[in-house]
Amino acid sequence: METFAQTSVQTRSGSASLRRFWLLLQADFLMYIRNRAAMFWVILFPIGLMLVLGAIYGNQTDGAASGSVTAISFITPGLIVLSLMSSGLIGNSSVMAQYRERGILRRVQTTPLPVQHLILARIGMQSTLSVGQAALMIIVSILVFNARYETGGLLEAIPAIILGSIVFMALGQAIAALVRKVDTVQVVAQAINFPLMFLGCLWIPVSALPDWLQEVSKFLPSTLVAILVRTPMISSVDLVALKIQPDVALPICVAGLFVYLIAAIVVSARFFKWS
Amino acid sequence: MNQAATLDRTATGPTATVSAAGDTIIDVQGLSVSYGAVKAVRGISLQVRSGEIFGIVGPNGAGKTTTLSTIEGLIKPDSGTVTVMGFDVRQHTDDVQRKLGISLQTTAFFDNLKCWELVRLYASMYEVFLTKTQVVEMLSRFELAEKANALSSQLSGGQQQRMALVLAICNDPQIVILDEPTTGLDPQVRRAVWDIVRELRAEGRTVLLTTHYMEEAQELCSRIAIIDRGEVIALDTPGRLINSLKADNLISTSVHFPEDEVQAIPSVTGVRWDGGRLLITSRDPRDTVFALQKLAVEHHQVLTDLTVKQPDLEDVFIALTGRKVE
Repeated sequence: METFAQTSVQTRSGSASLRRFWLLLQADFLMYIRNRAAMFWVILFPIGLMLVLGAIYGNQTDGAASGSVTAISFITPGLIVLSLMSSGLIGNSSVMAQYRERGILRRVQTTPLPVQHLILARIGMQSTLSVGQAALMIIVSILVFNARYETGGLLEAIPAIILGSIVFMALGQAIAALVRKVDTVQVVAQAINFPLMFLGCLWIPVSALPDWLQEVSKFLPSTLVAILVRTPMISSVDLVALKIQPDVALPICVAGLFVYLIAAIVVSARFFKWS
Repeated sequence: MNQAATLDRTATGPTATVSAAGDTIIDVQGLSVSYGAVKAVRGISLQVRSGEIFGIVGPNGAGKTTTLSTIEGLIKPDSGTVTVMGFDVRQHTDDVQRKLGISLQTTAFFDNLKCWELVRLYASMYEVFLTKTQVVEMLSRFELAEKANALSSQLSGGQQQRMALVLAICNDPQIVILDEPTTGLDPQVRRAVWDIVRELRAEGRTVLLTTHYMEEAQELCSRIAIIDRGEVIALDTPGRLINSLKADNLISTSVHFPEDEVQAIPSVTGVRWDGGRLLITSRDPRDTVFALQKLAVEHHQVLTDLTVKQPDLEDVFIALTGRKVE
């Protein structure tokens, strides 16, 4: 047991704190990939939806100048955002509510680990994986439907995906802070997810919405993330002129998402409950 | 493990108090806690000594868990202080928490983690980093080694409780705080938990636990505080508390003895019939049983079905509060 003694001695150094965070990330990763329900909603469902939508609209071109860009190239970035919402808004809120309901938060409160680290590790894990999930969807869309993207634009989409993941994780955190029970949290998260999904220009173009909903759409976090992710990926196409997505400049999208992020953090911190 | 405990003690820095067995290791003074208008704890004071198994005993809702939560630094009391190994809990929560190993009433296992990963994760929260070999070694002490690669959801009730105890000692704490460690367990598993608790004490750890099972407190604890409605109503060793009752033993039998002849036995203090059984109170059960045997022979009866019940903590609680624990 000498080694155990030695390891237990090194407390409160910065490196110990980092190592602890690394182990948290690892544990979060393991828990996530072993969670079949999450895997379904975050990966299989968006890909399945892509196959259905792709079979219906996949080869339709926009009819405008961009002859080579088909509908699947608009839809895939939207489905990436859908996946971010599933893992963040819905996934994170219910995981946090479960942690609370099952006494895990209480138990963590009895350890020297600050609960913020627990939350940050989850967000870190999720936002990292979200890039991989997006890559998987992009690959499927290319292989199955021959989708085309700007190579440089794909790289530009990465920070947008990470920002989107963080915003939805934070919104999920806020829901879990405001609503107590796991069952209720899931209902509330779904209720919020639903309009964000249909009004966020994910696969339904903004032109399909009535005028007043087009106005609403501009303010939704799902729309803002979709614009940020999609625009660079198919930058050769004028998505605003085609009325695929509303006219919001990229810096405004980023600013808007930061407003959501800060609001979510304030609400989460203010209404956080241990049990 | 003992060596680890010693080394860990030296690692706490110059402000830590190195406590010898018998010294006060947890000092609770005048603790009051309320939840809104409800006063859960009203002026509790108690001292836990190093190396003992201290039990907080009382009915559900008496304030046991609230008292523990304050010691663990989870709740800010309205008034009063808690000092653990010389550290004030409110001012040095982090230092105190590093000394404590805790098991709450809920098991608090993360989903989808294998048992060994769960232990490693909780240990890391204390910045204690364990290899898989070390974790398996720990698990084997609790007869869980073969479950190292199983998910926590695959554990039986008794295994879950043992797992919770592994998590309570994964940071090699000097003080182990267990909130109702045996509630809901069958008698056999409960005894297994008692053995583990005794073993923790044998390793030099101090154990503070709560229970609403009086016989558990009597069997397991060096000293107990009986609390009721947020107040300590008695605090001593179980033996002394029972003796302080000066209560008589209760002998009962279904053999039909003549009441007056039983009453005539010098050690007998009372006789009455209750539901077809003769209930005899005695200040010297050995003498009374001997005399009853003689009576039986005289009356050509066989002395079957005779039970002697010594007063226990349950009786202490009834004497103090006028009601049963549950």
